[in-house]
Amino acid sequence: MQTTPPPHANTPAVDGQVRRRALLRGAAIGAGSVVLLARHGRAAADKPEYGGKLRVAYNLAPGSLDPTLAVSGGDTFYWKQAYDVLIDNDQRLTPRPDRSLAESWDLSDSRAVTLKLRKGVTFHDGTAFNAGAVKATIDRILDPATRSAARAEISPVERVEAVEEHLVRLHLSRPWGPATTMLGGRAGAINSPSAVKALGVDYRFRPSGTGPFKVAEFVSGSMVRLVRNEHYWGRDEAGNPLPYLDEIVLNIVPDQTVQTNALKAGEMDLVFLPYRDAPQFQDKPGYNVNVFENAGTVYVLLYNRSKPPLDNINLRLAIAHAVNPAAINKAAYFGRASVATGGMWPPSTWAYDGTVPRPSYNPAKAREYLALGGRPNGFEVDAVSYPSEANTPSAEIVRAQLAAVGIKMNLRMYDVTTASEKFYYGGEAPLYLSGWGHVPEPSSSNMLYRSNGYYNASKLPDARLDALLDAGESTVDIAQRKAIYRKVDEIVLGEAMATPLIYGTAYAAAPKRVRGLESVFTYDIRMYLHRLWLEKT
Amino acid sequence: MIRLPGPDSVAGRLLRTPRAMFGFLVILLVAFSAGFAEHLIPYDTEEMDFDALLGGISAAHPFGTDQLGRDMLSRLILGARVAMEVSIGAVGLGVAMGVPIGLAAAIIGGWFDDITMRVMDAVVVFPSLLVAVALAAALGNSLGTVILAIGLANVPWLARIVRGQALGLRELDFVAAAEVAGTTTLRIMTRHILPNCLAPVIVQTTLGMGYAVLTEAALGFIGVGIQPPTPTWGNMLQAAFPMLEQHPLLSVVPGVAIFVLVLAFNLLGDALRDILDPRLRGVVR
Repeated sequence: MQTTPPPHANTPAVDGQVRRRALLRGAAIGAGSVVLLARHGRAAADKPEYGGKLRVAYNLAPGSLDPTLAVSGGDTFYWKQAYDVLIDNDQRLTPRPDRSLAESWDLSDSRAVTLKLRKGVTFHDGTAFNAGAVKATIDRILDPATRSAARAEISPVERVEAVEEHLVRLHLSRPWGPATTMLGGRAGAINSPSAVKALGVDYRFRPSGTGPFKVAEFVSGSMVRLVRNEHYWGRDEAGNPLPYLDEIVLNIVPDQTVQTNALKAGEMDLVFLPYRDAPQFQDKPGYNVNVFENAGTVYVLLYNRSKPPLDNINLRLAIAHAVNPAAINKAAYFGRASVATGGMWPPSTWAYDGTVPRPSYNPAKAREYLALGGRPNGFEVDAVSYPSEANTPSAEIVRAQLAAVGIKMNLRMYDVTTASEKFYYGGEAPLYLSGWGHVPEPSSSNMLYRSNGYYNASKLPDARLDALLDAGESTVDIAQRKAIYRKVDEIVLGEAMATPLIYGTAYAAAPKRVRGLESVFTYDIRMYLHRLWLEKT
Repeated sequence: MIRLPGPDSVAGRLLRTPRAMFGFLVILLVAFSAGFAEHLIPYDTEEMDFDALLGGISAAHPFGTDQLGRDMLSRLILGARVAMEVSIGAVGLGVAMGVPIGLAAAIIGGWFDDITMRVMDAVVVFPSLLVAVALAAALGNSLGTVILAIGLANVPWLARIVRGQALGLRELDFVAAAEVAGTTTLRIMTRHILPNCLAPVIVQTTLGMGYAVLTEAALGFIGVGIQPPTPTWGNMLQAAFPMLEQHPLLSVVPGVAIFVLVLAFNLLGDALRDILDPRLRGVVR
């Protein structure tokens, strides 16, 4: 799976951008929580109409349209329109063979994943999709020279065997728990081998997938235009060929306010809304808004347990009990996000367990922990954060609430990349007020929890966590995995290694004439556009 | 007995100029608020009332409350302190550096004049806001940095004015007379030339203070100025901007404050120029 990278993996620095990204990152899966405010007179089952152009605004420019070379979570938004994946997943990460390049698969062998591929699928350049294409794509990912970020996501894969024309086997070095998720991300997006060979470095922005839309034009920093793939294999429930739209234009619009205004002015047909603007459009008769609740951990306290004074567990717990996420939600998220009730994976994901004991707002308890930690009168702590529409007021609230129990927080704001670097590597501060990606697959949090994890600022060896994370990664059964990740949460939350505060909400808004908005969100809060259609006026 | 200012004195003329009086009174009010902020604010500026977020105008909160439920009036008053500190500090720095530089350039002349004035030109060609942003980015976001950044941008203007004045004065007979009488150069500079340069310097400092308020607000607005939780008019405006449509009051309060104070400095400076300029003396307005 291509997980949404943590905040620092992207680059925005401008307020609106960060905010937008936090929202996207946050806006996660919302199985069971998707609320479509349909005020339209006609039922959603209307016969879709073909044709038309959809103009979409997105804040991040693509670094690559080739999923193998995609780096940031923002890239996903683009390649998703032009590619299919081997195993597609719904919002709760349940595999959907009907939407996947693999019709069926066999995970019974702990040392191999065997996939039966869909027949009659062609790439945009006319090449036939087959086992050879899968092998070529995954071999390219595994080749260190490609420097593909997807390589880490399929690390158990040793080699790929094209068994038959439409049968492929991935040989594994160890059991692979999140196989179906990982093959639903950028690692499972299959490229046309002949186009990759023919175009070389140019392939990055002239990709050839099997997806519903073909990249027709790319203007750096401005837009990506895609046109309908006439030969697309996908069908809707009534058997009509997908997609419905002739053309989609993905406009790069960094500023949130500009996006919202463009939607109002009728210059854009689909945008992600910031929290503050959501009611404006929900109350407007001319618009539909698709809402995703519990969309990722958008605000979290991360601690560096190697750095005093937060090497003291009681002082960390004092902080965790002194902050009131309800106030943050109310003021910084306009009451439209949710107070975190579990770990880094929100209630919209299978790994969520709301029964794990975790710190919650309790100033009296915070004072008890201060006394236990030997600092009954409080202490001073350095913290870093990065500004965004929600982060800036949130940080002020945290500071005020910590001050109320005697903890003086010296906060330094940097842009997101700098703040992350200073916290994870620079050791500048033991506390980071941060956002985190939407993590529908819990093993994606390994880089945060593992002893040598990329985002483990403490770098403290922890055999308990490492063993649990290994087990979680190599177990296939979901119930067993859930039990394992519960234990991870017990340690991480109970010992205050991380204290999630807010789970996010994402809003996609479009004028009423854009139909099929209920289908728009992917499990990782990007968009699927192939089931949208435009009502002719 | 109180001595009233004579009709021809500067103060007397100021009293008879309504725009000057308006400017003066506004500045006095802001300075008073800044000086006695602790005693004037009805609420602690960091006190957050989560039951009164984004509140409108009310008896309890005459200017409403912000996104975190903090009293806007209290924040405005504390913001006035920052505005005054920055304007006085920055212009003070500008005078402290610019006046001696200009004076020295005029009196010493020659290569020294050439070099210093070209350096001043080089500073002037950069938009002063850009210089301030660069300095704030390089040195951090404290009050001192903001004062330094805006102050340095003021230096070349004052230096140029003083130099221009001093060059003219140097040629006048009373300076020649002083030289003949054996007065030292330093004394000529400080006792004969400097006092006669002061009128345009006063005008420039008044206008410069207005500009400093504006620049501080601009720095705060783009996020490189003084950082929260210290309320400044600029960072209040920045926090309010995303909610301009939903809660315009949040932007209006600091926005109007900036506007009125800058206007006050400009009106006063403008009036002072008219009054102090000998060529305009006696002109009926």
